Amino acid sequence: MRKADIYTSIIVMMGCAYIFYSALDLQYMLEDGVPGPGFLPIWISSLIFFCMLLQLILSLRKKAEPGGKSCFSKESVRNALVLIGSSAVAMLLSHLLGMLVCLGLLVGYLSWMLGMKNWKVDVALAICIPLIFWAVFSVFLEVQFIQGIFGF
Amino acid sequence: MEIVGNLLQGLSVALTPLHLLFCFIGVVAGMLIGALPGLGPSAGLAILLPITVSVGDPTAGIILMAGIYYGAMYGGSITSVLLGVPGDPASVMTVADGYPMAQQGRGGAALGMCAIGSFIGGTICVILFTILGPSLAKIALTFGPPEYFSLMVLGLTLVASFAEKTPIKAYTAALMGLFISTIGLDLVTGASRFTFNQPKLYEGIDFIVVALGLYGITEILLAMEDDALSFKFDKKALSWRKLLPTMQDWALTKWHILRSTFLGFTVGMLPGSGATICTFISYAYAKNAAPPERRALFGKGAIEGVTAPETANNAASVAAFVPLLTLGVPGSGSTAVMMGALLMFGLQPGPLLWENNPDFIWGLIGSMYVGNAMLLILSTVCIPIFVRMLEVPFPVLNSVVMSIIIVGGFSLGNNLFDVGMVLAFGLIGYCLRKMDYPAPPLILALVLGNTLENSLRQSLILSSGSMGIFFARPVSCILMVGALSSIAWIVYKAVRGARKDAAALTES
Amino acid sequence: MNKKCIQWLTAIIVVAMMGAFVAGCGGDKKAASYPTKSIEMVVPFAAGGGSDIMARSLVKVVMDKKLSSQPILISNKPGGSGSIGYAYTADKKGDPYVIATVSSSFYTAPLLGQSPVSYKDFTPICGFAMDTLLLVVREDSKYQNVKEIIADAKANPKSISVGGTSGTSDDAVMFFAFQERTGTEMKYVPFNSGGEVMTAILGGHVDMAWVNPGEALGQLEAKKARAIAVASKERLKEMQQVPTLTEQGVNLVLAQFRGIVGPKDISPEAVQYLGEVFKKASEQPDWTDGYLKKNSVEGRFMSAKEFGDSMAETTKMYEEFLTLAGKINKK
Repeated sequence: MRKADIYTSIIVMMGCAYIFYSALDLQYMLEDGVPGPGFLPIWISSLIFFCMLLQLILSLRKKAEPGGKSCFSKESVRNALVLIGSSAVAMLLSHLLGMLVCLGLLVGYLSWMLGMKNWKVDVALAICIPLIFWAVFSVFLEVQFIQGIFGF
Repeated sequence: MEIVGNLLQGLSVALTPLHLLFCFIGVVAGMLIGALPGLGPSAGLAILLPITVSVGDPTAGIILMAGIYYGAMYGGSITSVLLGVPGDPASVMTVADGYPMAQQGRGGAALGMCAIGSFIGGTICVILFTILGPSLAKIALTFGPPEYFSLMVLGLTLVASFAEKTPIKAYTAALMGLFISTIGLDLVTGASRFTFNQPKLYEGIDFIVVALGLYGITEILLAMEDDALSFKFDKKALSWRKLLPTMQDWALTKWHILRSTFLGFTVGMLPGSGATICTFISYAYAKNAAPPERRALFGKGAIEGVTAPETANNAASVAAFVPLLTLGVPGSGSTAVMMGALLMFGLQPGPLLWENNPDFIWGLIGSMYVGNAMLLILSTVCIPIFVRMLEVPFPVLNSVVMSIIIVGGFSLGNNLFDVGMVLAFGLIGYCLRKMDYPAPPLILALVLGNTLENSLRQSLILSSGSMGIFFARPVSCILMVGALSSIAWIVYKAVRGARKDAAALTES
Repeated sequence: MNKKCIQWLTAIIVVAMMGAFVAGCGGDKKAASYPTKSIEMVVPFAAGGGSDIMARSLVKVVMDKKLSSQPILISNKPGGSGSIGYAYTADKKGDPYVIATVSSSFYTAPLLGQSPVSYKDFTPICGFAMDTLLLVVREDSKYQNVKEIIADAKANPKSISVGGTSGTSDDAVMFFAFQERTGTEMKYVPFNSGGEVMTAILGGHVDMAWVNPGEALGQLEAKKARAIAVASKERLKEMQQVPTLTEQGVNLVLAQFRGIVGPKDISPEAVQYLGEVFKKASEQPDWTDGYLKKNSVEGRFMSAKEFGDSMAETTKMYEEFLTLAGKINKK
């Protein structure tokens, strides 16, 4: 936790410096003492910077925890990559294959990856879920999904 | 006594079989729309508007719409509690305690309490509305920019109630939320802020995008990692009676319900602020008001933490009709759609509606009573069905939830950019959660941020830059003094705490 | 099991692709005339807003009276003050199955550098209604006409507050142009929506505001607010008693046409077909009485050519006003 805190505060502080820098381009005050668009961002970035500085000092003063368990295990990184990564890939493919097809593939893949090793269930999900989405969103609620080369 | 007569007549309009049927259809359709993330009540109403108009008779049409509206308000809490995915902005706060309750196998009780709280809150507000009617408009009108600013400052001080364990991180999270709210085109000058020339960011980042990522995806990731978090079920405990809230739940929440009703009604009545803000205020307030041993449970499955925001959002949804029907000004997105519907039916919302179309007004008020009761019955009957959804094996459930989150993000603006943002916020939310940054302050600040900034600037334009405007007007002055004194209290407590820590350190 | 699973998946995908291919071929056959499939009508604002409800009402008339042989489907593409939806439509060059509705940010956003596409990237199809602005005060306001306002504003500069929606909307444009033409100085207070502006007037938080006639109608009828002037060329049909700005000695006219555009390079047949569909729709009583009258919008049908000319004129007008307001030079 200590290490993670130190890294995060440094990263966030760098982000704040960037926000502060780009907020300088915006007007800080309009005429007549009315705050301009830059007013809030400048204050917010300074305050976050200050908070993170405090956090950094506190974490540096704290001694490393004995047997310090990292809060990001290999497994948690892998989980995040599987879930977010596969969803992102599915969405990128949806212009090619159509959104419903991609959603079906995604649901099937995810449920298999998450531990449903019975492939019949996975395939059934991959087919049924898009059909339900189609019925609820496209027919009932008139949401237009992205269509792929198949025309749906 | 005239009111009683009017009301009886209104109820008789609402209780005709045809109108009951429309109310029923509306509530069911609304529950479905509300339960789906992304499409909230206002988008749902707009999409179903043509169907509503084709009903022909204005009273039946508006009863249908009102049904959809209440249903959607309640529907949002179903997915919030059971899946940890907020269905609409007003039920984001419900996730904080509802989802942990579902994980402990008490999802049914949480949903039941939501229904009861919503029913009581809704009914009290309808009664207030019936008695006070148009005179409520005066209260709504006293709120100008300075009053909004003072209210927002008071709301922001509530962040402190989430800042007990890791104060620095909680305040940082709140500041991050404020920063996200500044993204987009500036209201006053039209300058674009932090949009990286992406037109899709011009209108800012939708609140529900952040909530879907910060809650929905984060919950899935946490559950994937820790089997202990997945649902515990005792199959025998799934009998209908055991699913309902207990007397103890009721004893714990009854005062919170009353308080939240009042809060929801007053805040919900103000045009523009609406249901979302009051859920956060009432949650934080409930936490502050709870006895210390209960306060520690907030965020880990306290029944009060579910009931307070749910009561408030239903109270606010009734109160949102006040500006619409008395002033002819829509106070929220959903009431704006209803105003459109009223116009299509040939009714001009506004003060004259009470004189020109009393049948319609009292029919609508009657349907509010009926709709609230129907919601209570329907939801209690359906709770076992909803809860059984959780018996689905964990991988199947979570992969389906993920796809619902994606489709929900897509349906917000029909584009993939929002989906990408949801995924990004999911990743950010996961990191934040692992490092003990609480999510509620971020979301609270995000909700308040826009109004805070805009009302500050509007007030200062009006006063030509003088801060005195916040104290020159009575309502604003009271709110501001309240806000300042609660800030002083927070600082005092922090300083005292720091001193104690220092003393403890030197002693040891 | 794993291998078998992949085999199965492949099989399913192949079958699905074949099915789609067959279906796709069916659709690809050169059809006799436009339209052969449903038409997507892009509303570049969120569901539930004024533009959205107007579009949905119009499409409902088309569908109810079966004026089009194929369905027209509304799709909301909000964001970027309309620029997302317009960019999406403009991008569909030559595709007559995507059309979009026009509202004020169609003209202002490209001028302000907030949108990559301007009216030149579209094919005009038709115009169906005219929108303008009303100057509204609270019923008990001391102002009776524009002259009094100007006199007061000159006597007490920066004391009158005027509400409007955002700093770059047509209300704001009108405010700054008014200030410039009359040589006065007032305070402009931007709000988020027309509803908030109306509440601020009724609550006495601002002195006056420029609003769309439809937004003020309820208050005007209930005698909670008064209209002092209208910015159109002639008095409005529904509000004959409200004088125009020009009549009151301020030479300013702001009127814009709501209409429908398609992407560039679509066939003249499609333009003609759609134009006829919407022409018929705009003549239906369901539209004229059911929508226009109730929202106090002036109906005025324009052919593709007329609408094209008016788009150029409106852009010119906004360019002039925005320059007056100092919003363009600053960029």
